[in-house]
Amino acid sequence: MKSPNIQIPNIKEFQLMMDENLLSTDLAPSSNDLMSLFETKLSDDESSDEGKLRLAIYRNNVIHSLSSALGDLYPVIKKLVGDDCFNAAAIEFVRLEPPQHAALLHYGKSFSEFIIEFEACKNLHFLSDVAILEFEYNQAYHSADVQSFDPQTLSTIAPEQLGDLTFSCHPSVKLVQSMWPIDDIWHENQKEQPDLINLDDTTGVHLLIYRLGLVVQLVNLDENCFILLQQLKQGMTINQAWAETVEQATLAQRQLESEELSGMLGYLFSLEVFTAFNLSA
Amino acid sequence: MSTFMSKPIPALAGVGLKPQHFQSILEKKSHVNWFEIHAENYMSGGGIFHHYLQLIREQYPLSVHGVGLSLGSHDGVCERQLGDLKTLINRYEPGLVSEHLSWSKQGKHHLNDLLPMPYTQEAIDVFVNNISKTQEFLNRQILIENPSSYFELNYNEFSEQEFLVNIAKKAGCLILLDVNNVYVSSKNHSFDANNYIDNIPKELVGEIHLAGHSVQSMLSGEVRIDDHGSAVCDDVWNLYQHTLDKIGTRPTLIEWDTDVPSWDTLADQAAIAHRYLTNMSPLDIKENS
Repeated sequence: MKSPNIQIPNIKEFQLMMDENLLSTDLAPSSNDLMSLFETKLSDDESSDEGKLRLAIYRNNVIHSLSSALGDLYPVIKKLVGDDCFNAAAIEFVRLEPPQHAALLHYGKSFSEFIIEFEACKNLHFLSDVAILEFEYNQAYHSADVQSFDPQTLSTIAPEQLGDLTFSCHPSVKLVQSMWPIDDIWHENQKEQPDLINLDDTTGVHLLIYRLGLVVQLVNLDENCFILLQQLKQGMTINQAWAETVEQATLAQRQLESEELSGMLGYLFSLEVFTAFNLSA
Repeated sequence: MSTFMSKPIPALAGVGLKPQHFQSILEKKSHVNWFEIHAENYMSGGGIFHHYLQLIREQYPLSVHGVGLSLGSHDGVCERQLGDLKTLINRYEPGLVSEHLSWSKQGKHHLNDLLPMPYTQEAIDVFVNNISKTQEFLNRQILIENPSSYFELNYNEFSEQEFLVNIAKKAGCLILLDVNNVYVSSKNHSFDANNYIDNIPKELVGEIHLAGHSVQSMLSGEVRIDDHGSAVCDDVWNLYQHTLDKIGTRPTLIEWDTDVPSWDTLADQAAIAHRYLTNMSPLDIKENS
């Protein structure tokens, strides 16, 4: 039965009121109006409690389903900080940044930025980079299937033209640099009982994340090789990419001999990260 | 482009496809005759999910069940979501495509739940408009599933079954009759579940869903939660029998989405549905498997 004093909302107003009350930490001021629209057979006193409980089912469903989805996307972060801390962070994140797409496979990219600002995790400086790794791992896991190219086909290219070649990377290829051993942290936390990693004795990584067949690969590249692949991924020719790699190595006073180019390319071919080559006119 | 011919879904038992079961499905025989996927879980380019879905689709008919199109949204359906759904449909040529009588999107964000609607003329117009656009875009008829709900609005102008039937007739879509949802809502809102079923014209029903639900206490009473986390209960099996008596056999799906059980446990639920659909005794099932 309709209450005589309540203005009946149109669909837009109803959905806005629901939305406000589903994501908020506490019930929004509109919650009383909303709950007065619920059918009840109880007295006024009891029906107010009943309304809160009925609304709470939806509030819990929304927050629980989204924060558990985030937990499925960031299992290593969850393991590192513990369930309670993760759930608190996830709920806060969900409220700040609900998904923009119904397919949750791609949800939570900015969780890596959020987690370093989350009070309880502020001293865990490596968490953000581990979160980036987990996000990219998941993207690679679901990325499109494309065959890598057979390097033998390069034999059709005249030697003097090789430097002008560009390559297409497998769509899963992501390059992630970190001052923390995020690959070791990730691998260790796939185990039931992870061993401790002493972060004082470790060096940074230049990670290549991509999928080979159905399996996601984490490869810690030599820094020069990482830079070379970075340039090739952007569509530079071999000559341009190598020049940039040499320049960056010189600036950083890193050892790099010109003979190393063919070895690096051969190594990248063996990883099967390229799907095609192109010779621009 | 798809390599599949669209296979109609038979009036037999199917189950919701879960990654945990990929391998068992390909290795074991069962009374599961078809599979249903949640569309959003496959809105990606490739990888292991598509690898197995491809293999399973080669052997079984498939139904695509969307949970995120938000057909009840006042501001229309998301075009990107529709596009992704069409890509998936073109890839796997499902026998059935379904969605919900609910909403889940507000502005640009998604709430990932099947939220209730007021049952008013304005809401009928919203659904008819969104369903018509969807069917036009996908170039096919879809089915709409009745929701479970935990509150009713006191300004409803229609009962849920009147509302659902009205929309299906106006939009030219079919109904996915979720018998567990009818049961859950009938308990939560004290209406007669048999009467609900009796008022759905049988020619509008294209598929049936069955699932488990849980019971929570609330004040002096209880509330039933549609969590898809257990076996189908006896009352729901009885209501299913009533449904089959009234409308005849239809493709029937067992949904089990949380606390996902072993493949054998899920396949056993499908075998029970198979028994209802083919009117066989449990003994016949054992001998045939």
